[in-house]
Amino acid sequence: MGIRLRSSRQTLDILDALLARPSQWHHGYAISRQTGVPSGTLYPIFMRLDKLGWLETKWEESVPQGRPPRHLYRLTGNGREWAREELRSAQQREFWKPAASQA
Amino acid sequence: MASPQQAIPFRLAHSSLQLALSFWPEESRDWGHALASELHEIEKPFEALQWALGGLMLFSRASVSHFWMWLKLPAGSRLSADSLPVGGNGPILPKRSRLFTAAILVATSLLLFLPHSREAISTLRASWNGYQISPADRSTLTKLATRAEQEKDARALAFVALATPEPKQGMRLAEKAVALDSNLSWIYASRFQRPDDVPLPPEWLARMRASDPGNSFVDLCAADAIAHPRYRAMLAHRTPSRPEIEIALLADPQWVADMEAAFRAPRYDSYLRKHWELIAYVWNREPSLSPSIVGYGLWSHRVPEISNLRIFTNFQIRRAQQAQMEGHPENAEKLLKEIDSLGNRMVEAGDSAFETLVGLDLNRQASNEFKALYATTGRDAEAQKAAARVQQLEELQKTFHRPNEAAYLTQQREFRGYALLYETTSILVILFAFAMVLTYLILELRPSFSPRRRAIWQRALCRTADFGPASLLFLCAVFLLSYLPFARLFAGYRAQEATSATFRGLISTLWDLVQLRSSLDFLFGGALKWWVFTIALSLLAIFVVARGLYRSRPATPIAS
Repeated sequence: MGIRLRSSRQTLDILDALLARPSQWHHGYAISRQTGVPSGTLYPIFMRLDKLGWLETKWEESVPQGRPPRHLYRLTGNGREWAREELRSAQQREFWKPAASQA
Repeated sequence: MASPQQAIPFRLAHSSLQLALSFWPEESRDWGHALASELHEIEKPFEALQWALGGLMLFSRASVSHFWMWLKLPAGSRLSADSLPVGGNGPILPKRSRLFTAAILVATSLLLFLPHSREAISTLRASWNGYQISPADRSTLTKLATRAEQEKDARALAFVALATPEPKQGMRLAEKAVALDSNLSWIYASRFQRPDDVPLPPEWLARMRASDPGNSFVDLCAADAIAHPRYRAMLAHRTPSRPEIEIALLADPQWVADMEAAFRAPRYDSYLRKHWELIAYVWNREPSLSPSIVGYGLWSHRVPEISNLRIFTNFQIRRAQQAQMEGHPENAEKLLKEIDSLGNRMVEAGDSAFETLVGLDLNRQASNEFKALYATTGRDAEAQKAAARVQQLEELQKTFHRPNEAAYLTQQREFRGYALLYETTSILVILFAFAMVLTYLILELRPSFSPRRRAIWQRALCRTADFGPASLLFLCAVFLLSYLPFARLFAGYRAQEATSATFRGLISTLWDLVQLRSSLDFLFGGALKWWVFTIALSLLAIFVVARGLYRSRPATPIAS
């Protein structure tokens, strides 16, 4: 059985945040603060995106002394296309609104 | 000033995540590290705790997912890549997944939790224990007595009084039961005289005589109450000979009077049927009652003391011969008729095979004496009749038949077959369960067999792991099915629909179960089973330790 991703509002918020600067690497805590999605929800979504091949991950290379390397994330090319389509569809269905318009 | 990272919430968040990471499933541990590494970026203590809580949720989800994936693999395999079969050199694994095995074992457990199955297990345990009252049975009897006292249930109290192995408790409860219902005074006589029992108190005998006048059995009990202390007193010094006992008893006028009353009484009732009905009444109210309690109660019913009967019958015969020699054949005939009458009453009214056989023997002895008496007094026709009766009685004693004996014997043969199946499947269930536990332990601990041995052993283990659970389920189903005839018999008994033949059937069925277990004592004998258990556990412990040592030894350096 394949992995499925339910496009919940929280997933869409995360995709929106990742798409805001698509080529840039993001930290988990930063995404969580930006979207308000707690860590217990954020990481399972990351894990699914990763398994679907829509999320690129890597470990931080230059790490200041005294703290461990952080994990970095950004959407892949296919991931970005899929994410844009999901966000557009959700907006059309009025299921979800971008954070900017909510504000 | 201490940095925020030194604050207790931070330290708590950090240590809880580190603890979770040490148990985190390998395939998703990186994600755990990723989450934990963000903790250093958080400045507010409450946020750090929230973050860690999310991490713990992620850990629990990962663990559940890991367990589910692990379940879907066969026993002995792991989720890491090195455990997966690789070509011909990989480990040999069972074909069925752990999930399949678990599902079958859950189905087996559910089957064993059905009310009939629990009854079947309880009956099995009771039969293997020889229907001896276990500590759990004692506790059940105590609870039953307490409730009966609260509810003032005289019959339940009487039941416990007869079933308890504690003589003092039995006497106390018997008093209470009779105080509540004087019709139950027969229970005074029904308790089997166990070695640790006190003799029947005179006031109990008086009450029994008053409530059931003209019953030989009460007089026989009174004679037993005199004879028992004498036997015990004699046995304290040495085993007495029969003439010594005879002299001692015949010298006691009260004993002679009681025995004479017993031989002259118009009725005989050993209260066995009342006892059966009492057991059926309580068993019907308490269907979960252990068969040990029922079996113990059934078997502990008092029967007349055969040595008393023998001694007094011989005494009566001697008195009859004396009367004849003194020229009083009518007195001799009267004395012999008393013997014959008691025999008749025991055959007609006795509910146990023992009473019937004793009754037949009294008839035979009396008829033998009648034959001699009539022959010497010139009553040839009667002498011939008596001789024919002796022959008939001897034949009857040899082939001991009762009404419906053929039907009873057919039923018994049938039940013996079920008992054999029931006992055999129960032993197989235990052996299979033991083999299954051992197989799964070995497969999961993954011993390092040599390649040749590994193939043989692991194939055998895999076969057991593949077919064991289904076989166990099948055996449990057969075990339950083989018990159903017994369940029906017990249910019929509880519903008080049973006839005398069914009561006998119940007793001999319970006995058959014990007999079969006894024939397997070489396997499950008290001491031997503990030896086997101890050796098996020791071997397992040695295996685990040896495997640990083998695995921890340094690898052999590769020759350069």
